Amino acid sequence: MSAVADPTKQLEYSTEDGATKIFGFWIFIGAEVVLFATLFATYLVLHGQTAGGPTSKELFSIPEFMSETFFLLTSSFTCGLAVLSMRRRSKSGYFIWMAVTLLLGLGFLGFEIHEFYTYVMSGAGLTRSAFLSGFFILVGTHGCHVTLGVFWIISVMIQVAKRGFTPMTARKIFMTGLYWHFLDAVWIFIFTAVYLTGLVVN
Amino acid sequence: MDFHLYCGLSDRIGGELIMKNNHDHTLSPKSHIIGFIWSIVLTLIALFVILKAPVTVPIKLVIIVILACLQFLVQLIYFMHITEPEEKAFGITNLLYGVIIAIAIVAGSIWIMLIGIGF
Repeated sequence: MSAVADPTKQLEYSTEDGATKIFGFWIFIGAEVVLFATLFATYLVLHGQTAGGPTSKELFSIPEFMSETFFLLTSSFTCGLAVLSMRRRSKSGYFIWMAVTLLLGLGFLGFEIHEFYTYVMSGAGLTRSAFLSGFFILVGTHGCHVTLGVFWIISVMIQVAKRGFTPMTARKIFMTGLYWHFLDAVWIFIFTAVYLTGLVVN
Repeated sequence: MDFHLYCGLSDRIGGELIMKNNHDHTLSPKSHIIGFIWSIVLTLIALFVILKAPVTVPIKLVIIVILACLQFLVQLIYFMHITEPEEKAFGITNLLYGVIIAIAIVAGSIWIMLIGIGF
């Protein structure tokens, strides 16, 4: 699989295999950008189509979506520190910061699940209106990505616990980091185009 | 990037690596802290603009979209290290292509479906 490691590079880039796979992951992120763009376009076009149901102004709660935003922003920061710890060859640093990242990620998911539950219980479910269909698909797809990211990070942590920092585990740590930061970037656009916009436009 | 590791045979099978140079800028949390502060500040400014800024709604929307794009750049530069890999030109070109398609899809849909083309 991997050829001889180049000692002048960061561990995750040190083999051709690692560098190529990280580049491949950037191509995947480019495709994800387009995927989310289609969901954003659908949501924004359908935003006003509430079919007599609740509007975004009535539904969105500022403390709730601000909590979600700060949990995810902070988890992106701690995830960056975890990747930095890997580069410093600090196993304890990596595990501590990734554990914090996971807790913040789970906190984010908790808020989001609570938010969805509240909406559905008040009669504002996926099938209530075109606006809510677009909302749940866009925000829910992001939430699925975060959930997948939690499982992915846990499985990479298990590998690091077993094998330590090798060119392969370092590459995986770096890719989970890219993925997590990307999800934070997508959330920024959800925060802007869905929540903040939803407060002033009906 | 002058980052050197002592890399012996054992490293390839998972042994401990010894760092020769630990003053490398990529090993300092400084850029992460700057990025984090920026992301918090930009988020709070966006919320403030929506709730309190004395401007019309379309101007508010333009401002928060610009703030979101700045946040995206903060993530890319301070956290995702987009400028680091050797093949960064390919990575950035690829991402830029994705972003152009994304803008075409979102702006095009809003233009045709909400604003109309004037017929």
